[in-house]
Amino acid sequence: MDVHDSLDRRLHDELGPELNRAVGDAVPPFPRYRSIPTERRFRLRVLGLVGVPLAVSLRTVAALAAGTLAVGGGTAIAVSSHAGAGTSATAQLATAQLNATSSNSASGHSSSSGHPSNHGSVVTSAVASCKAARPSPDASPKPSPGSRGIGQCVSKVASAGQSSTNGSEPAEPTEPTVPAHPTPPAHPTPPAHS
Amino acid sequence: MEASPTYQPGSAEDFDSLYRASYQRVLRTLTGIVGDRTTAEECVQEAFVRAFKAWPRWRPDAPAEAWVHRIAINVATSHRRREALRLLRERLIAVGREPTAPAPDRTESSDLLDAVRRLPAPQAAAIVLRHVHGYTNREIAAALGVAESTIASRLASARARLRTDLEGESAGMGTLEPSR
Repeated sequence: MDVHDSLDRRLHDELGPELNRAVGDAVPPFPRYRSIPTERRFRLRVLGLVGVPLAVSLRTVAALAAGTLAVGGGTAIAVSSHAGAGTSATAQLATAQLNATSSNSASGHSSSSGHPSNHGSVVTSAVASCKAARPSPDASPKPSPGSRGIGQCVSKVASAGQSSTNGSEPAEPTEPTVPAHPTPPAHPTPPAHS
Repeated sequence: MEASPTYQPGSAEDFDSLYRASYQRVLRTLTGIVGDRTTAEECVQEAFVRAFKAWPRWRPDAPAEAWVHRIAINVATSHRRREALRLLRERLIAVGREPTAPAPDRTESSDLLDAVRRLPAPQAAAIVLRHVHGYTNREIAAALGVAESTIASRLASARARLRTDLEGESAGMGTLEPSR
């Protein structure tokens, strides 16, 4: 028997069945390449917008932001965009234009209330108004002794603020309170000139 | 080689079809090259990952399955090279230690299949493509991306090596007839 023919015959007759036996009826498993993110999906994942058409989502966010700014002009905007297929993503755009009124109203206090953090400014403004309202020393009739200072005037405001604060919010932690201005001693009565 | 279906480069659906159509044949080829089914399955998956990445650049002038085969054989060749280096490292580490019992054979197989696995990977690939899948020399050359004359040379070298190998194993029997 020709050895060469014998080898070829064995390769032809045996190799295929041998490999078939080793492999069996292998059903193609779930392909690994399916778990590779495509380039576009990767970009969207980076942006947190998987599943949302990129052009639509960015246009929507921009339009909503512009519209809200035009109408509201100063409050926070939050635009959430949810992706499909079990993946969610949120794009948030926030603009803030805060002023004293909005921050006070957001925290639930009026600017004239006795909130501890406002007490100092209340007293300061009271000092200014008391100074403006005090009688001139050259006024006629002359002011009574002790009435030229602003101590009493400011003291009323400070006391009112303190009592309001203590009474309304006992549980809320307070900042170090501005010490109440001590009431200045009444001016000594000048000696009467004869 | 079977008539190649029409595939559209870059189409995910077409690549799925290619995967389903060629998985078994590619797995058989790689089992012949790397030795065991589990390793071959790993290599096939890796090959399809690489093919999927290159799929948009695939040119329909070459049969898609031959193209996947080429990628898969490259993966298997790299695997065998790494494996050979790992075995060499292990043997070097084991020098001077107590001899241990040889590892059991990975899969029960015939002397012919074992001899094919011992061939260099490009020769084993040529033998499997020719005798298992029925490729012509030209088709093997197209699949592996080499000249047709190179394939003829590889097949001749592979046969000579197999003859020597199998004659050595069957010296006591004095024949190349199947040892069943």
